[in-house]
Amino acid sequence: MEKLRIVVARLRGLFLRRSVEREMNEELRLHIEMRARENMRRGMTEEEARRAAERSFGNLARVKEACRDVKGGGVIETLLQDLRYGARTLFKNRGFIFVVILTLALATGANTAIFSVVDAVLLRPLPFGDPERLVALRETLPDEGAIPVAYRTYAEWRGQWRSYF
Amino acid sequence: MPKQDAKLLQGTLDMLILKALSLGPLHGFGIGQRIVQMSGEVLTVEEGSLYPALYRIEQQGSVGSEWGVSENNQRAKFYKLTRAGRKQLQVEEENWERLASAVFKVMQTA
Repeated sequence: MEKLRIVVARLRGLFLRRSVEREMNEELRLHIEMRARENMRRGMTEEEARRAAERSFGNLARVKEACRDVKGGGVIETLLQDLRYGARTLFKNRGFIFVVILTLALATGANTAIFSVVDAVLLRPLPFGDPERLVALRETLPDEGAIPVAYRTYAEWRGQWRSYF
Repeated sequence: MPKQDAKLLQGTLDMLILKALSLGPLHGFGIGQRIVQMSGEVLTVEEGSLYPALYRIEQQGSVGSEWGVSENNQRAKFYKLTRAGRKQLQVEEENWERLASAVFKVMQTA
């Protein structure tokens, strides 16, 4: 429940930044007003009271900055800021982006190509039933050494076999 | 190490805010007043510094807030201790007592 509340507050800080900011300004302004009224009750003039109130509040801009740090979207806001900053820096440097994208594209392409081969040759099972029973036939001739078997020869051999391999 | 000092003070402020709110809901201005008052006017709180601390405590879930109307019929945001805040206050009080008595012991040795 508490966790949920924190998440809601963070999201509010992230997406409703303007309304959070307005609410904070209002709250701080009212505080200074209250202090000024208190000062007037103790006998200060309006001008004195306001100035004393501002003094006892401290550095308003710094307080607001500290409040924003707390109220903002926290880690997510920092991350978004970093992303925005990164994008801006990149766009200032188009040549660099081009080289980077080209490098990534080539690398990705090469990897895909190599992987396709590895996948087909090594990883995937052969597209036949009982692939471990496949054999390659060659015949050895006295003059020419080992050569592939012509289909006719194969058909002939097959007629002579009593069973398949 | 000045940083450590700041941390200690900040932690103390959080505890004082929780303590001030343990007596009932208050707006930010009232919290400052009450802390000064409870300390017998010894402690002064830079009023602005209350708010970052207050917002942090709120995000931690120790206090809840809602807009209301002050004793002078003025709009103000009121803060209220949550149940988690009560527990947090208890923990911080115990830590504080341990720390204070330890420091006291050190200072007492001749």
